[in-house]
Amino acid sequence: MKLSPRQLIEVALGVLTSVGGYLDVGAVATSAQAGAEFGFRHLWVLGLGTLVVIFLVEMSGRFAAVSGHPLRAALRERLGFNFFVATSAAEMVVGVLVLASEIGGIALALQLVTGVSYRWWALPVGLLVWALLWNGTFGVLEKGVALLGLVTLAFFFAAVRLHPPLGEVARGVIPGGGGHDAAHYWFIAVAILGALISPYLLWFYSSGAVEDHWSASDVPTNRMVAVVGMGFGSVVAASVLIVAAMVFLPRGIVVDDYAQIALGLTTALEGKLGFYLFAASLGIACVGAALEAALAMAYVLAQGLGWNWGESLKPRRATRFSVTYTAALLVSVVPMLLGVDPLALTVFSMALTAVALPIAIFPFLVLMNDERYLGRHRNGRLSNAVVIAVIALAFVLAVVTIPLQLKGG
Amino acid sequence: MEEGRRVDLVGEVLDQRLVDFIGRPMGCVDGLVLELEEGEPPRVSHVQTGGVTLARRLRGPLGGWLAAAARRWGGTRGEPFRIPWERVKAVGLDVEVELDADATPAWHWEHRLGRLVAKIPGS
Repeated sequence: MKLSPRQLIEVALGVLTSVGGYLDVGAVATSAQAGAEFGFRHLWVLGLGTLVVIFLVEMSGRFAAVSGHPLRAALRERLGFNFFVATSAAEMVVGVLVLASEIGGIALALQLVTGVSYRWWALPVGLLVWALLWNGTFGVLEKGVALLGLVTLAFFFAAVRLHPPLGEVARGVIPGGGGHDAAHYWFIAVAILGALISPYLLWFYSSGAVEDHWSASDVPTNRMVAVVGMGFGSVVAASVLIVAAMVFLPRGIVVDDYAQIALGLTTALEGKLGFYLFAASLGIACVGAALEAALAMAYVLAQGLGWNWGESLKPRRATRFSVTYTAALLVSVVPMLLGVDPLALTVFSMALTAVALPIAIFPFLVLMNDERYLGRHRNGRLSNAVVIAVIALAFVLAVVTIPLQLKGG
Repeated sequence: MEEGRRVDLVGEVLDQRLVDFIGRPMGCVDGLVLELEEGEPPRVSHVQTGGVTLARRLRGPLGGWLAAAARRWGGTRGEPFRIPWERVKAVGLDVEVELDADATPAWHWEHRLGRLVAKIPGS
């Protein structure tokens, strides 16, 4: 596969952006919890989640590049209005909770640095995210999040500096159980999968491919971005888990607030620098994810109802679209203003994402095989087998999440 | 439209995106109107778009609320917005119509919200 210079830049940019998309508040929180309580034993869950995300992201990008229609528009076109209304209603609810969690993550990062409670930061943070969306264009936000996202590599360096026992890390990559506390182990496993396989990332990614005017010639670029970008993101997430396993597990600390995770990096990097790096990583990853989650809600409605849409358009050129993300942000600020615990809300929204996963993934099976949209770029046997396996996995997750939350949450 | 082409109305037209003469999205094909004449085969006379038509497709109270909202605040005062089939230029992934989206009720809300959006700096 030979790539032109422009395509190489696209790949580099896509890889960096996907770190922002991949590593959100949910991934940080669930990986840290996993490491603190079960050592390296959830690493294989991260691997499985990453594999699923690579396939789904590749498909959503390919669909949009070839057809010029983002997935959510096609979902209504092929599966009808009633299906669109039912799934969108579910996704708006989950979307608001996820967005609220991301806002909570940014507010907490600011609390760590300033000492002022996250409740006071909720409104300014909401306003900041809104102002970025209102004034920025897709390209600017994409590149900005990409560059700033490099800060999250701090987790990787911290993990390396702690010299984790490689044999044990390797054993964590092999699927296994939780041992002493199975229900809790599996609850965290489900939350990790819910955090990694976020439908909003898919709607955002396929809309972005349309905003960037991708065409069928970008199919190879898209594949590279999906594989390398998501792989890169998973390395960072795995680093969070490893740091938590090295710092918290021996001390018997259970992660129940972000200040502790920050402390973990402080220990790892010997000094205040680690603390600030953690706050910056958390804040930036959450800003990226908040932008994507807010846009995803506007994309879903605009595409399913045939509005004109686009983050690259001035708000006055796509008023229904820009009013939708504004409204989504207004609603999502409320939980933090009321003082809901951000970490608890995050784990709850990740579990809810897992419950709603089957309806989000099922359309892939129909759409990715539609000749009118994809022509010769339809799914092959491998991709279809993966989609079926993921739908099966999603159903299992949806069924076990609530009992696990009651027993092990 | 090319002569003699067979079009699957539900598969290829219903729910597809409607675009105007310069490709701007103006909603989706929310409904199709058939004209029945004694002794003639049914003929597609219009495509419909907008909240009034959508409300009729929804079951339960949601449809009722949407219909009431469309009567009260909609651009067509509770009447469905119909586009004569003669205006349909092409049926592909998008259904292209020979209309200016800006001048149709399809953009009623785009314009109403536009007055609000214009007051905010940076818009």
